[in-house]
Amino acid sequence: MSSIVLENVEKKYGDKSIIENLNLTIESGSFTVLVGPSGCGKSTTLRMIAGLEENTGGTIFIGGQNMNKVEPGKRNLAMVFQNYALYPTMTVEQNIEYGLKNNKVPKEERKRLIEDIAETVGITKHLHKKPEFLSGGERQRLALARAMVKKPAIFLMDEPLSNLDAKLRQQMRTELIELHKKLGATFVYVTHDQVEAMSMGTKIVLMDGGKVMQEDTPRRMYQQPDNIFSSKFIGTPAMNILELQYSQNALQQLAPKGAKYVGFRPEKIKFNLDAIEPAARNSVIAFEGVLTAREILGAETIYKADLDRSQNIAIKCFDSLERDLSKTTMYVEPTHLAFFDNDEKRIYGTNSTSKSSELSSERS
Amino acid sequence: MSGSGTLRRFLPYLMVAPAVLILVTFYVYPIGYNVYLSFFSWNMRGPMKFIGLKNYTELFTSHDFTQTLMNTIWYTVMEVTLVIVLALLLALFLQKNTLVNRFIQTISFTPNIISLVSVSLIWMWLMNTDKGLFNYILSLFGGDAVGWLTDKRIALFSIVLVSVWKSVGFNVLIILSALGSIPPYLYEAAALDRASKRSVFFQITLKMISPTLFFLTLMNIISSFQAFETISVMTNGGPSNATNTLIFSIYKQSSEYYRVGYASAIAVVLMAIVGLITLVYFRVLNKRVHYR
Repeated sequence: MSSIVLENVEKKYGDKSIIENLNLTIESGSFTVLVGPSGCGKSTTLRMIAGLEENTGGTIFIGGQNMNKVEPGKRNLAMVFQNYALYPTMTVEQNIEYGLKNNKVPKEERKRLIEDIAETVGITKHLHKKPEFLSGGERQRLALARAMVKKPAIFLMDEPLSNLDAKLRQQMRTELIELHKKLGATFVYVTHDQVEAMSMGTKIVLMDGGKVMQEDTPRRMYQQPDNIFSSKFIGTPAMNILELQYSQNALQQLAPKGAKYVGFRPEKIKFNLDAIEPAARNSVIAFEGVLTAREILGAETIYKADLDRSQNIAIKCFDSLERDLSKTTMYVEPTHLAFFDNDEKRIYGTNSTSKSSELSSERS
Repeated sequence: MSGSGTLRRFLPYLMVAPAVLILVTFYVYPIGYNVYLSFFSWNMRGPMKFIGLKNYTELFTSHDFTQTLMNTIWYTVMEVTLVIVLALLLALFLQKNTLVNRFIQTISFTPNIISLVSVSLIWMWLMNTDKGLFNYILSLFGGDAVGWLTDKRIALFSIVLVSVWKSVGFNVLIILSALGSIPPYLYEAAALDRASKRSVFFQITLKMISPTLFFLTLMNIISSFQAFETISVMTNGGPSNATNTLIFSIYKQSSEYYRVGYASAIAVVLMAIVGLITLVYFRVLNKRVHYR
């Protein structure tokens, strides 16, 4: 109904190609997060869906209809901008009303809709103020109200929380998730913040250099990175990636054919064998290293360790022990290893890294 | 301690003293002296004679003054309206930054750097009834010769035309920069709000540049009230007083008829009018115009 399909979409500015041959399906009613580093094309993709940028190639379908030549205002979508893009010359009420007026909604109904929406987002007492007199959070709410009042099938959001302070951002994040559940509309959300992507999305589309690197649910994105880029972008600290040729024999023997890199999450590495299930203790991989730094984050502590041949890893552990920054031995279960080939692509289907085994270990 | 206390109290005054001195010498004193002179009859040589409000009563009962005042108002209304409307249209047209547009922008600005006296002389030639280019072109299309500067119904408008030609480029420049400072995301938001072109222009573009337009209006009003060179060179206030304005009559009364008191009285009236307009301007500005 309000699904979005991008078919071989490309975007060029002059000779410069930003997006090439992008194929993407955003399911109706999903909360899809486009995430990636600056310049990865996520905002451009969003703006092409909105119709603010024309796709120079391919087709964009919304609800099954070709949108290539359809004006932004007629695509049945609303957008929340990073800087809110509120009309500074209009009052809060007029800001909300403008889109309704243009859509020829009768005056009485406009009034009712505005009152309802102002109540919903909690800006009723500010209705007659200009946006400049609102706080950051109130502006954010107004931007949301302006989008919501049109009752669109699709909400597009371009880093809408990046101008808020940390606490407010947290709160708005929760509110947006609730809003998505309540409205049941399709949300497409652009951010460079992997925490936002993980916490809000029902589906994450990870982009880099104009290409989709991986499309998955947040959980699978974290547990089953398709490539080294995904493994490093999602998760803090990033997944540890080691080159096999510099690693110990035990690792090299485990590696499937064609593997060049091996990766494991920082929390999967343990400082003592007791933390590892008895059944797995025999096959465990041991690393010798020197701890070089310690970051205490409250619930967890993050260590940095130097291994042989100038490779280094991060370790996240959840005990309150403060270890000395000295030589130590660390252990990883083979089931937690992910292997990548020469093109930094994941090698699936080996005995040690089948998808089910990793999922099951997550539950334990 | 009391010594330094006194110093502390007077130090601020001491610091602003140079500025105040300059202000008083070059602004406050001349204005005060001008008002003072307006109560006297004086020909710059003989003794000054106090005559009270007589200059003013003469002023307000004189037919010439009424005509001069009306000329000034008409001149201002025509000039300001034409300049702002033309400059706005031109700026909207030139908004796209292309080579041709930059070229047009440059030529439309050039009149601004030419001296008004030269400008006046050139336009005098263009507007000459018998030998001027304008009437020559009109004759090509079978039109009758127009007395651009000799017909008293048209002369004031001709002078306005020169002033518009000269100042439109500068106004375009300012409006262009105002247009350029409108954040593009507002237009994007409007596009998503399904706003029509008309609505976008009136609700966003015009409102966003309203402070600039308002400022330019005031500047143009003030400069219109002070128009002098064009009138002096092109018509000398004629034909039959048709292009005589307040500022030009101040000059005539004082420098040609040596009626310093009377000229001062006109100057006071002019100052009052400009002051009033400025006051209204700022009142409206605070209430009506969007300022960030």
